[in-house]
Amino acid sequence: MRLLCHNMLQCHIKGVVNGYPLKIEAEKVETRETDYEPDFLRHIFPRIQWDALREAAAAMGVDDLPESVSEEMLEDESFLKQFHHALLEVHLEQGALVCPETGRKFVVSDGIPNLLLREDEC
Amino acid sequence: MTVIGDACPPASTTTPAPLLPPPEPAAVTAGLDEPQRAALPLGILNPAVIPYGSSAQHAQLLAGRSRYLCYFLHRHLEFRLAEVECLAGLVQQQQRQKERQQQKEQQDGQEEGREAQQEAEQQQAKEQQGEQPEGQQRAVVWEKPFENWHDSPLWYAHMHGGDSAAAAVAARSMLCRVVLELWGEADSLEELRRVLAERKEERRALWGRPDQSFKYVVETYGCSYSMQRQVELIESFDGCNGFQGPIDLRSPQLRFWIVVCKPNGQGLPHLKERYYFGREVGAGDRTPLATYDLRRRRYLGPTSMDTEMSFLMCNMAQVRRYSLVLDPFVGTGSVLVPATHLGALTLGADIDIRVIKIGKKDAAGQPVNIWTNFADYGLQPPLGLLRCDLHTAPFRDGLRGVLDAIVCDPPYGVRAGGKKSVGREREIKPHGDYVPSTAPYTVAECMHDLLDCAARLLVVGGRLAYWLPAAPDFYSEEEVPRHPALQLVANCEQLLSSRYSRRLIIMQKVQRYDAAEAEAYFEARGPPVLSIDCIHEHVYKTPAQLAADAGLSLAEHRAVQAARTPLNRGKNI
Repeated sequence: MRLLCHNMLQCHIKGVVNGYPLKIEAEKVETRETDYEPDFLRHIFPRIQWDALREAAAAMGVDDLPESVSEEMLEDESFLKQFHHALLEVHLEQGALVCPETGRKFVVSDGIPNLLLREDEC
Repeated sequence: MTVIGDACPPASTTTPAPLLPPPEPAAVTAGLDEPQRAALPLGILNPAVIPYGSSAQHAQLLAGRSRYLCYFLHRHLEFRLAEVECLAGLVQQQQRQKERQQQKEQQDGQEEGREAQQEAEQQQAKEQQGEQPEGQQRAVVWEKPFENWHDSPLWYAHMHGGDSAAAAVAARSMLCRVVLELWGEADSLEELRRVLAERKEERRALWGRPDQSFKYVVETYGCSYSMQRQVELIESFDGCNGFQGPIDLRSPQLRFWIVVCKPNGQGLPHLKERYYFGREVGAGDRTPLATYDLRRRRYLGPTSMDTEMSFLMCNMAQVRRYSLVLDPFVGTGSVLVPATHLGALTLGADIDIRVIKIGKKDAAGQPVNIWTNFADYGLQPPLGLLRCDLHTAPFRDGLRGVLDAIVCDPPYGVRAGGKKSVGREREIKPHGDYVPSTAPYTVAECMHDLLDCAARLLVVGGRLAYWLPAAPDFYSEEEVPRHPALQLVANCEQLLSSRYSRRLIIMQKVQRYDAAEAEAYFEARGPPVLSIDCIHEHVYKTPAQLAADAGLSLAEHRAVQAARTPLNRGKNI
């Protein structure tokens, strides 16, 4: 699971108010090279919650992302490369996504997060 | 010269006299009035269509457009115009973007640049909301084929953007064989040659100069020409064109098409004898269909989408390079394969963990799954696969305008039923691999969730493409699900059997998502109920049971069914 997906997901258990962002418990992290496409990065950037991405990247061992960002930084090649690496190249293979409110664990196995709720949660 | 395509049934090219006497097409066409010829639904909502030969009366509507002849395959008749129109819309959008970018670059550093840029952005927003004069906003104005036959393969398209746009449309199209700049059409070859000779000098200055290699292509519809006859036909056009360049059959710079249309009694429309001559502007490319043929794909499920159809879905959803595309019912990933081929980045979700994670074993005992399918094709795998449920979707609350397209084949309970998560009061013993139970998911609920999800997650201007099950017995336009933020663009039927069909529905997000508005809208419409939810019982009833339900005898019921089934149409037509 890439951090792009993580950025879009929240805990959706009925009644949960602060289900975002999900905390990452990483057991196995892989880095896989992905095509670098600056146009896509510029397109997706405004839709990314930066703090959530930064926190998640740190949990996966990528801690070089700047604290605050702005649209102007998208012209900077070295920033784009960092953004690309954190967003698309770091994969969570085994681990869990943890709801910040309830502590419910959503298991990630073989890179696929299981976000299905139990009967008592929906 | 090309080999005669799908459009022509193999006919007796070698036998001089056919076994059956030729049909009397004149009598057939004479007996048909305009509504019967024009009975084919065109697939697009409110298309701009003008009658054959009426360009002059619609000068205002056609201003800035060029007229091209689209020669279609005789396949998926209801999808043909819709596909070309959607692609034309995409190409024109891309051209405008490029122009704007160039303007921006020129104005960079200038003071006035900002204002102009803002103006351009406002203009773009307006365009996306469709605030343009009626008819002008259509990507294509269609001119009906000769004699206004709707199921003729030859439609005239009036498009913006000139040859380059038309070529780009043709290159991506699956159902349009070629887009021609029409040089002449006539009822006889003599007349056609005379028409061409009239403008010979004027055209030769542009096309057919000594430095341009060329070739002729003979295309026949409703008949078949032997190679020798094709060569004779081509040679007869030498005089009236007088091209000076060298002939190159392999990779010519110019291709000229002679299209021969003849009436035929074998299930094709009864077109009148007609000859067309045109310069090729762009040609369709169906080679991806062979590359991604399902028969050679290792990981398949019972509802894997046919390659041609999944390309049509992606084309009509205007998937392009760097689009972010989601399939919420990803299954074996068959819809995402063409999307990735077209340069999109994809996401997939499914409720069934077995399908997306575990996969199957192929004939050689090797494990196969979605990842191996993409690896086999050398395509970039999906950006992510999620196991989740659309009914209780796990996307964060504020997530808006992130996807460019949602392309999917929802479960509608004919071959694979839908499932959703359910709330139930009972004691749960939580452990690592606890399997929560699921409940059946009706088509109406599924559509409601899908549309609401699309209205949230799509960018304004982004598209949703999905299939809706239908049966002629109870389909009505009102059945098509609606959403206040989504506008219906196309609705094309594919017939699967006499009792059952499916419709490709294309919707475009036209305004920002407003939760209160959406809720009020659905409140007013009541709980989602669709009569197609009973399709399961309907499809599996025997004809005798259906006849009894309708209070008819079996023979009467069969007659009613036969009258309802469109003539000469089938699964691929």
